[in-house]
Amino acid sequence: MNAELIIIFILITFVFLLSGIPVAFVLASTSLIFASLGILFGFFDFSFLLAVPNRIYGIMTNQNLLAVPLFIFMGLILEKTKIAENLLTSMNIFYKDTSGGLAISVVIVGALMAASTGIVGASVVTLGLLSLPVMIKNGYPSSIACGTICASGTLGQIIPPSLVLILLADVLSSAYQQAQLNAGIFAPETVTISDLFAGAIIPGLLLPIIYILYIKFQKIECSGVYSDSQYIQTENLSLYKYFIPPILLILIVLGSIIFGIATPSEASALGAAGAFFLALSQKRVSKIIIHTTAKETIKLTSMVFMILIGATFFSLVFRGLEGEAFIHNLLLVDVDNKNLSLIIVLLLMFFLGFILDFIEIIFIIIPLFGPALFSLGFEPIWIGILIAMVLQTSFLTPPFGFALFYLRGVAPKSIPTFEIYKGVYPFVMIQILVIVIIFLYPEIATFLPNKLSN
Amino acid sequence: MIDNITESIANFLSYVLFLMVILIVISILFRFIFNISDIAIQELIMYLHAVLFMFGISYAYKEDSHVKIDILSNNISAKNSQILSIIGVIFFVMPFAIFLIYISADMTMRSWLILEGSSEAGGLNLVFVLKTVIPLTGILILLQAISKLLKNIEYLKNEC
Repeated sequence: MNAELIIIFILITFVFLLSGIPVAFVLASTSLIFASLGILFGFFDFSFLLAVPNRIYGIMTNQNLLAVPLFIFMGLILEKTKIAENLLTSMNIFYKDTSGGLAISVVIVGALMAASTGIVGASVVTLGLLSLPVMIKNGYPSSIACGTICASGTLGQIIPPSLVLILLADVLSSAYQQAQLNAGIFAPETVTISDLFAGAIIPGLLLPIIYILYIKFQKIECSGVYSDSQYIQTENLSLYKYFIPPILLILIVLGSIIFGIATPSEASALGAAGAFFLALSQKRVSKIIIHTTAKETIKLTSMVFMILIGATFFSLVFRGLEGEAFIHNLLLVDVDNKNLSLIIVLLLMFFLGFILDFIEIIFIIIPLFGPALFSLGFEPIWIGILIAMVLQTSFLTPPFGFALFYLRGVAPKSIPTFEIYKGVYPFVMIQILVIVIIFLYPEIATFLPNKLSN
Repeated sequence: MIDNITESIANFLSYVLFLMVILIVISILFRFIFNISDIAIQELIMYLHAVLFMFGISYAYKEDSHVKIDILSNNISAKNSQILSIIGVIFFVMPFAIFLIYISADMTMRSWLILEGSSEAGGLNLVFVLKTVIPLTGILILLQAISKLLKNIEYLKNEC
């Protein structure tokens, strides 16, 4: 085993990743270049690369990943036809008179949009554009307003049906099976998308509830300019029209997956069709919108899959360098406390979350560390939920969290960046608190999936 | 010219996406109403999905929507970003595309020789076509990379 070579390989890859060249191509080509050097100097066996076409074919025929383009499509339809936006505006009517009501409705809508679109960037930007001006106008401190928006926007990562959970299920499942095969179990158990969705429900409810409690605790004075704001056009906003239908659609899609009525890919296709008809019934569909939505879906989907392909190259070369034994030694021999090993991996993901997107982290880190972790006997659903929460927190943590960049992009220049950081900190603390609670009480994540599978 | 090809492939793929949604919805209806599920349809959906994301890679590349980490490179000048793009094409995109074509050609060829069919009874016997998607994807990415390279060079020429 060449520990130095492995470290050099990882370092070189990260340096190139930071160059600003598309990540997926960097992963693939850096691995290729390193492999060619390896073949030249005799420390790498070409036969590892022969597995590439079969791996790609495996990705192409993976039924679970079918849900990826379909959920993206559903989310984009809801977003581009402004259904998600109207959900937010109609929601505000409920809470306009309570203290902190606006912020509370941002949290609730953030959670709902998370369930519908699941795209962090989209929800932070939409919430930021729609709610930030109104909250400021109503005398909310800009820090609290920004913090609420960022935190609510990232809920999309943990609340099903999130892309994070779908991809996690796939990658965790193969890591888990690998660990079982290594241990001599030849009929390995798997982790399904519905397991992770079910596991994420309680944590996904817990977070917005604690957010709301925190906002209530702040006792924000509402200055009452609210009603004359042009932003609420009540005449056009009927609850029945804009609020109930999308919520119903989301509940049907989620329910059918969790209760095993439909597979995730079937439910996602139904969701996309449902979103389309919903938009049609509200007369929000034009040929151009649907066309751009479809092409946007193709772009995002191919982006995700290209990273998966790039990461496949990376892990094949990593394996060719006997990297697995390296990780195994690192986690299991050098560190002899299994919880500590897990914490190290989670911290690593947290810090990588500052520079990498969740897709890269999931596709690179879990295949590397997953089998070693699972050989310690951890419950895969619990680990999956912890990972999703850690990634979400990482996206929220100043100064590098992605959510903060998205909000900075749409927030008025008059709000200093420091105010955004200040407002986000309490939410980061809440995140850490919930992660610690789930760490200490794994039942929070595993109770529902176990209940449902019995 | 290459951009037009990529663009029309993307237009074609948007129909593939619709077809996928429609086929899945129909197959669910059939399963619930008549209690039949057809393996050929399931495999067709899978094929469409594979074509969708594989052929979409070159389109996503054309539209610059592959994720990049730009914390170090978001403040560089327009000229330097063109140079960065050229480096990206030559050292990272092209080697990947060429390798993909090279390494998958053999598998695809062998599949064509035996006209490889589905491993499941009643499935689509078009596995050899599906495998052809891999080298074709490589070719599409390579073409798009050439188009990018030409554009970058053109830009730098005008600049000087």
